[in-house]
Amino acid sequence: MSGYGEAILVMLAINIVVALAGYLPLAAGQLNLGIAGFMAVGGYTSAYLTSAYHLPMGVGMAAGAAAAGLLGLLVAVPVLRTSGIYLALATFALGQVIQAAFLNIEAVGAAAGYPVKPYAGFTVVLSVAFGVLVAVLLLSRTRFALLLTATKNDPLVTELFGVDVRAIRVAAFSLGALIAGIGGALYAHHYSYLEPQNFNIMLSVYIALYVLLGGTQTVAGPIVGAAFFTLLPELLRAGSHWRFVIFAVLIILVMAVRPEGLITGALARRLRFGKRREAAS
Amino acid sequence: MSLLALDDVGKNFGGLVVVKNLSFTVEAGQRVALIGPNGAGKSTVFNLITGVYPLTSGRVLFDGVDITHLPMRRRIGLGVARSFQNIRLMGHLSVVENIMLGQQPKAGGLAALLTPYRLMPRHRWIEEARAALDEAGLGAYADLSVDSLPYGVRKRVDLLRAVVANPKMLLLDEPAAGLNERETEDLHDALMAIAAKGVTLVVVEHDMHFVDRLCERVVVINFGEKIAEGTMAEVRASPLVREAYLGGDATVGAGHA
Repeated sequence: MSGYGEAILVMLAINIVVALAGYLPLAAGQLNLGIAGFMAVGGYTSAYLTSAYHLPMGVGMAAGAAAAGLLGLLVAVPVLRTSGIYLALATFALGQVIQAAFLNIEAVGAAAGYPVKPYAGFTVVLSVAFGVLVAVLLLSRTRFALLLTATKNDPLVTELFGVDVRAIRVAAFSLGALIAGIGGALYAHHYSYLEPQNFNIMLSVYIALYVLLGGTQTVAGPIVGAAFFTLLPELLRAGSHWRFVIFAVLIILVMAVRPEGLITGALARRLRFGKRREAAS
Repeated sequence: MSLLALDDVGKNFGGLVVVKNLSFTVEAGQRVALIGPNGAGKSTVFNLITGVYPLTSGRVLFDGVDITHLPMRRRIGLGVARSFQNIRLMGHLSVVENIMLGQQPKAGGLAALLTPYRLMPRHRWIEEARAALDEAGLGAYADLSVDSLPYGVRKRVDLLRAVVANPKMLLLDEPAAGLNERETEDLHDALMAIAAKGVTLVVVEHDMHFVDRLCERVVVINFGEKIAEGTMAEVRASPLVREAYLGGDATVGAGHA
């Protein structure tokens, strides 16, 4: 495969991972606008442990994921007391705080940036991303996923049927943070250099858009959304400056025509039905 | 011992008194109606029994346990389930998945939560939910989105979801509202069948003919206070009840009596 093709695929793989990180809380109706912050925690933790303590990359990445997940768990309890626009603002602020913190931590280069070793190549990035995807797909086949959707639909009724809605939300938020940590670690070890500016608010907004545009009702949604945002700008490259205008117009069009996202649960059910009918005939 | 006992229950929203000094009991296996004019506080009483609102004063006992301060998610485990006046099904889930939410009290624990049942052919949760739907004559709708269903069917799914939870007591908020004559008749039969299995029914309903046929006992409330209690014939004879339903104009009440 060409270098360009590989580069695009790596970008797509990382974007799918972070889209899944944004998807889990959104599946329960919680918008996390601080995903980039959790990516930073995962990336810097892994980079620091592998550079300063010469730990193997796998261990570094696992520790990065754990650190991001743990931070998610710690902040989920106070942050999830809010909801709707307030939750979005709280997570937005959290992302900014994390970014600002890394700007000031000398041990990882502060504003000057931090070189990362070892290097995670094409195969490593795609394998890890594939593993995350399989894990989330498995999770989407469980009662936990059913309760995420129920929580988003009607938290009061869900609670009346014996579900600890708060625990479900905290779990979704923390798992999302953990996956964002994996995405950040992949980013760090593939691009070999970390700067706090990499994890700015625009990245968090983009990740939220991947999920909202793709759809929050099935795992296919964030994958399609991430693919749309990764591949379309490349396809529009020929249009030079105008590509960003065309891209923005396309986003608006999609949101106008399919406000629940490109892939909805009803669409997925229809597709499955089609298959079943074909099999039956 | 009564299955349900409200003991001097009061509920204020700010300065507004919605329920006042309300006491009544429901015996196990009974079919009881809670009736009263619009805004009498009937739905509020259901919300107090299920823990949606905290009580301002008084106690609620269920099956010998004081559940006044019990979190609402713990009440279904004791056997309190309810349906909703404005049908609250999960629009993003299919019919069979909505029924599966009713299984939740029996499917607790981390292992149950993380079992990828949708990858397992003929997993018992799906089979049980489908069987319940088939038994209720709703099997044909199992894989559809609830939003696509007609009103009467959604109402039946809402009821079935509560029944699947195996409650000891079922609180039904206006189960017959919006149903046509045929659907109301079917609902009556369905509720009698549920009661025959030993489930206690407490019904808020405006259709007095329906209440008269279904319920053995009636509790009448107005402005959050109990004004009468007894059989339908007994409460009909109460002057307080007549006044509540027909307004202060006693001559109109007398004329129709």
